[in-house]
Formats: sequence, structure tokens, C-alpha cells
Amino acid sequence: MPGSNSHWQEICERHTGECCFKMVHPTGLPIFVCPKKGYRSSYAVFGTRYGSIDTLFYTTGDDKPTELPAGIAHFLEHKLFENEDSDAFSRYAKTGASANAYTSFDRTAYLFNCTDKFEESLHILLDFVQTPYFTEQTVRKEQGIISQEIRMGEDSPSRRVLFNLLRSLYHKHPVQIDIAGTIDSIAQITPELLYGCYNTFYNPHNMVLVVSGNVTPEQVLAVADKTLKPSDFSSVERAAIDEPKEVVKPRIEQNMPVASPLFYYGYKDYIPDGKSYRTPEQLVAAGVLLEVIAGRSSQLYNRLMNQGLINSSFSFDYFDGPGYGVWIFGGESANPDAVASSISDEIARLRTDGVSEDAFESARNALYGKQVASLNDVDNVSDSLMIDYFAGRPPFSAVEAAASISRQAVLKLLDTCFDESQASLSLILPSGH
Amino acid sequence: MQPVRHPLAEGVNFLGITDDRFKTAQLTVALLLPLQEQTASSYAILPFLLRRNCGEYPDFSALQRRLNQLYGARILADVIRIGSNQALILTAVSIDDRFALNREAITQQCAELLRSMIFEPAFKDGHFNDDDTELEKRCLVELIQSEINDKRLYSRQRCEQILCEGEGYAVNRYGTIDGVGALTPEHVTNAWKRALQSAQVCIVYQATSCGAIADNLAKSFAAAAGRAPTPLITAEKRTIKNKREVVERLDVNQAKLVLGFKAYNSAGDDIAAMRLMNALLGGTPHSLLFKNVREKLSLCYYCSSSYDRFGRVLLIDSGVDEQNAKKAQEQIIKQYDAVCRGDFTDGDIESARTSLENQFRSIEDHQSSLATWYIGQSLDNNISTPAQAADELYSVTRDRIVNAARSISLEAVYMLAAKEGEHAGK
Repeated sequence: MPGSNSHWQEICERHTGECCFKMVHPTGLPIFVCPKKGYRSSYAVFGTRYGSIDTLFYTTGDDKPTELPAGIAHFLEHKLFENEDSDAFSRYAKTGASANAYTSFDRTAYLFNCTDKFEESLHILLDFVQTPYFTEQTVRKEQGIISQEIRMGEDSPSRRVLFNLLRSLYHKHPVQIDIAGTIDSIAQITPELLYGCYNTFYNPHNMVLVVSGNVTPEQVLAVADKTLKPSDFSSVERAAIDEPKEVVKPRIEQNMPVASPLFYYGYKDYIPDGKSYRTPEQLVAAGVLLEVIAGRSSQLYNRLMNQGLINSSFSFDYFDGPGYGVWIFGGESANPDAVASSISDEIARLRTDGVSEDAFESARNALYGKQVASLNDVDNVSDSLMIDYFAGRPPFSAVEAAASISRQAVLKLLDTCFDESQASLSLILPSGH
Repeated sequence: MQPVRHPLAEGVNFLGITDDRFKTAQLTVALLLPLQEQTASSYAILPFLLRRNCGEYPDFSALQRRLNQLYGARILADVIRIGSNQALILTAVSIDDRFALNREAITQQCAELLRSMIFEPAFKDGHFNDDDTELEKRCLVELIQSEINDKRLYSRQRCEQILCEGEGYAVNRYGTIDGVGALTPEHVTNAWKRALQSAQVCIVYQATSCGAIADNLAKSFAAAAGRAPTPLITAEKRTIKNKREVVERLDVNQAKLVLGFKAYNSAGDDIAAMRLMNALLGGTPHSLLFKNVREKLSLCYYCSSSYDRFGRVLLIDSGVDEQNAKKAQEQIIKQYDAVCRGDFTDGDIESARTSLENQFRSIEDHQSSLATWYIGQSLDNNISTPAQAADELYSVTRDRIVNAARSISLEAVYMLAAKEGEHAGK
């Protein structure tokens, strides 16, 4: 148990017995620690509430928002690995930790997994993320590397079909812009811009540290006390985007060398205030609803499969972030228009016929099992705690929500989402090869 | 604790791992057979068809409803390649009984369901039914066709085909489009019978207790008529060939360069040294390839190496602008030559070792990684734990790393690039 001088709060999930400890460090950084008995490895993630969508924001005292080139959060992620006298990977090479980082729409995360020398690795993580170093020369070098990452993305049909869909759904919201930006946008990035972003978003009050696995709160706190630098509180607020309810266009196509058409059929989820997230209950209800509409036990899935319209690549998802949310159905199909129209018909049928108690119960059970299973791996546990923290959702809240979700919550989503004016079909068509 | 393989029948080994750390139980059954062009398709369809054509739930949607009721239990079907062998894999994953909302006994039911899928399919007139066979044929053909969608994986696969032409290793684990297209329910039924008779079988069960599943599986295998396991292919006979260079063109923006190296017969048997050599050369973000080709020259986003110990094949791949491909290749060869000359520091060896050690020691914290680890050892006489593999790295000397690098030779250079006149230099 944590010592009496620290201010750890223990948070436990009643169905699984999973527990974590939370505190806010004197520097302002929230810290979560989830010890997992019997595990050999630990997984730490140090994240900031700053992602690809943050190209327009207000800082303390601003009356006009600051606007930045697309892809700058991702560029900054790459560049932080390099300090003046060393790079983070060379430092991790001495501890054996497996380190990485990623940038998503609404966050940037730096992480490592290790089975030995945990304290040294955590020190490296906290230290390099707090030590920015950018020069003209290192920025130029990174432009070469990231240009190739962008090229790679341009050749990825699964990435193109998603970003094309987002472009067809969103008029103004920057979720439509590729996370890495474009070759032209990253050419505008300078050391000064990177320092500006760093100083705005890499403030402990805007960040979180999560560790799970073979670790105690005391171990984490000892390294945090030694390594975290004090910082003045400064606030940063995402600019609310006045995004229309309707989509830009109902269809978007691109030709690429693929075997058969790839599709994403998506419905834009309208977020009235333009910046909030869905609650745990709404997220679980979305999962249950998708399972009812298109899960493997559904009429729709089995009909499309038997008609030869979908194959094993078929999947569905709901994802959300500040000011955006998307219901998505995708896969490969010789006739994506027929699939999209069947999905739309099935939603209309469910609105009329309702969702039976049996269908709801079995989909609810499946969602509950999925949430429980997601607590197996240290990487999942840490990432989920970080994502939930940034979204204002309590730790492990999805498990309780799945155990107690009501049919009404599911029906409410069915009634309020999936307007045809909010739908679009994104297609990657074979270019011939 | 050292896990022990228990023989359930001839060529059938059961590995039970009792572990209460996880929220789920997982049963994995792998049927291993030599990977050959003439049989690959008829075997590859089996895990998918057995899942769809289950005797207990012949209607797929009824099966899925049952799995949903069992708290989203999943039956996963897959085919993987282990060296020149094909592994047909079915896995059941369910939450542990402790977490069921009404304390139902789920894990035993899921394990039993998987057993029944393998041994008791829903036959019509003595064979798999026509509709289900046609449906899974279509899905398998589309799976093979879609391999071109991921250009990096596709390029690596093409390089392996060129490098190992004539070997089982070069045969697609899913078979061929024509091979799958020609299958009939009778063919597939015969393939199922043959697989149960002749496959070497590796079963890994991870749960809080092993229950009765081992006994039930033992009875089922004992009842399989005429069981006579076929030996697996452990090492292909190879002769040194000239290097082949192949360029293929598609409508792409970035070229994918893949260099294929091969070890001969017993060369490559020093697995610990090979693993360290690969990590040092290009297996980590502090390796020679990452530091030099990506970070110093900024030619690419990725440049890495991987060693497949079962196929004794090392691939190095990178995504580059075509105009820089020659420069990237020269730099890759330069780094490989440096390893062959022993031109690396003790610090490089230590970094590679600690990094690999971390990878191995993490495996036991992931159920699916641990199952894959033990299934991969089906070709080995004795099994070793990930921790033992980590310990073995400590005995590897600089000379053994150099010898490992020298024991492979570059025999294929593959590049997937833009069509002439398109995208060049963009």
C-alpha cells in the first residue's frame, strides 16, 4: 500500500477486482498506477491532451485562436525523441525497455514496456519528454523521414478509405486531416513553431502518466519526485468547431491497386457543443447497438455473408473525440452500394420492429466480456486509463456500464443517430494492376 | 515452472498452463502438416469451415448467439506458416468463470465447443455441406486476393517466394486462388479426415484449472481412425544460388525494397546467436539499420530486419523513394558487411541482448503470445520457456554473432515500385 505521506486514492472495479491508485503530483501531473499481481512486465505511458486535431486553440488571455500547420503534433512527437546530446532510443537501449510513441486525433503518447530496470526507464521517459530540443538541421532531417511515413500512408488503402470517409463527413472539424499532415504542411514546420506547441501543450496540467503491471505507486512516485519539473499552470482550450450536422458529400471514391473494392460506410455523430466526448454508458450502448445491427449473430451479417456481399474483413466500430463521433461499417465487397443500402434498411427495420430482449441481452453479455477481457494486458490497461482520463471518464467505468446498461439507453441511440443526411460511403476501387 | 507436454495420442501433445492472473481462458489447437502446393488449399479452408459447420450449432447465427451469451466468447480460425509447414489453428477465448455476472461455468463449455467443432462437424450425406463450403471458398479466395492491399507485407511475401522458390516455405499458407476454387465438399471432407489422421497436433490450454478438456481431447484423437502422424519438415536441403533481382511495378507512391538472405542446412542452427545478430543489425530502434539508414541518412521511415528461425530466412525491408533505393541498398549492405567483419561495439551487443531479453520476458504476460510461443516449438524436440530463451542469450559471444551473420547469404532483392513515368521523384 502507498505510504501515509502520499495522497493516493484507490479506485476499484467491483466485478473484476481490478484496482488502480490515483494522485495529482505537486507539479500538477495526474498519475495513475495499476499494480498487476504476478505480472513480470510494466507498461508506462506519458501522454498529453494534444493531437492532430489541435491546429486551432486558445491559450490563457487569447482572444484570437492560434492556427498551426497540419501534422505538427505528430512531427513534435518524432522530434522529442532527440535531445541535445543523445536520443531516447539510445538511452532505452541500456535498460532494454521497448519504447515507442504515437499521435492520434486527440492525444500524443510516449510509452515503454519493460521487465527490468523500471525506475531507470521511467526516468528516461519523464526526462526526455520534458527536454525539448529542436534546430533547423534536426527539423530538416525529420522532414525526410516523415515524408516517407506520409508516402507509406498514401499507399495504404485501409488508411485512405478511413481518411476519405472523414473528409466526406466533416466540413470544418480537423479530424478530417491526416494525422501526419501532408508533405507541404510539414514543410512549413520550424523549430519556433515546435517550441510554441511544446510550451502550450506539454504542461503537466495538460498531461497524464499511467503505469500498470509489475509496479507499485511508491516506485512511480519516487521517480516522479526526482524527475518532474515544476511548471506554472497555464490553460489551453480547444476551439469549439461550428460543424454542421450534415455531411460534405454522400460518396467519395479513389482508385488504388487493390483486389476488390474496400469500403467504409459511416454515419456522422452530431456533438452539439462541438467539443465533448460520449459518456461511458453511451459508449457501451453504442457497442451493444452495433452488435445488434451487424454482429455475427445478426440477421444483417448473415444475410450479407450468404449473399456474397461481405467477407471475413467486415467490421464495425464507433469512435469519438472532442467534437466528433463516427459510426463505421467497413470491409471488402464486390458491391459496396448494396451493403450500405442493406445497413441503412436494417437500421430502419430495427427502429420499426424494436430490439428484442434476447438480442439486447446477448449483445450486452458480449460487450461485458469484451470489457473484462481488455483488462488482461498491461498495455491495454494503461492506454485505456489514459484515454478515459482525457475523455473525463472514470477508470474502468466501461466494465460497470456494460454490466448495468439498459435497453432504453441503446434504443435512445438508435432513435437519435443514423440520419441519412449524416451518412457517407467511402470507396477504394481497383485501379487495375 | 517448466511446462511439460503431455502426449494425448500419437503425435498429439497437450500443454496445460494453470494461471489465475488473466481474466480469460484460452484453448488453442494447432494441426501441423507439411506445406505443399497440392494440399495447401484443401487444408487451409478447414479451420474456417469447421468453425462455420459445427455439429452442435449448424446455423452460424445460432452459434454466434450462443457465443455472445457466453460473454462474447470467441472462436478464432487461422492458418500460419511454421518453416515449411502449415499450422491450422482454432482458438477459443472466453472470460474466466470468476467474472461471469451469474457465475456460469463458461470456460469448460467453450473448450468443449471447440473440441466438438474439430471432431463433429455438421455433415450432410457424409460431407461438409455445399453452401458452407462455397461460402468459405469465396472468403478464402478473397483473403488471398487481398494480400496485395498491404504493400509492405505483399513485398515481403514476394521476396520470400523468389528467395525460397521450390521450397514449402514459398507456398502461400492459404493455398492458391485456383486451388481453393477447385475444392469440392468431398475434397474438403477428405482433407479433414487426412488432417486428423496425419497432423502433428499441439494443444495449449491456459486457464485457472485445466478441467476435463485434456481427457476429452485424448478420447477424440484416440477415436480418429488410422492415425499415423506425418513427420514435419524441419530443414530444407539448400544449395547456394545466384542472387536474383526482381522489380515489379504498380500504381504506388513509395517503393518497397526487400533484401532476402538464406541460411544453409545446419548454418543458422545457432538460434540465440542469430537472434542477437538480427537485433543488432536491424531488429530494434537502436540497431545499425535504424541508426544509419533512417536517422543519419533520413532515407526512410522504416528499415528493419527480421529472422524467421523456422525458415532460416532473414529479410531486411524499407520503404523509400525509388530514386533513393540504390543508396538505401548500398547502405543496408554496408551495415550487414560491418556485422560480418565484427565491426560493432560491445555496447551494441549489450543493447541487443537487453532488448531481446525484455521481449522474451514479456511474453508470459500475454496469453496469445505465449500460445504462439509454444506452438512455434512444435518442430523442436524439447520445449523452452521464454525465460530460458532469454537466459541463453547470455552465453553468446561476439564470434558467434559474426559467424551467424556470415552463415546467411543475400540471394534475392525485390522491389515494388511505381509504374514507369508515374510518381517518380514526386
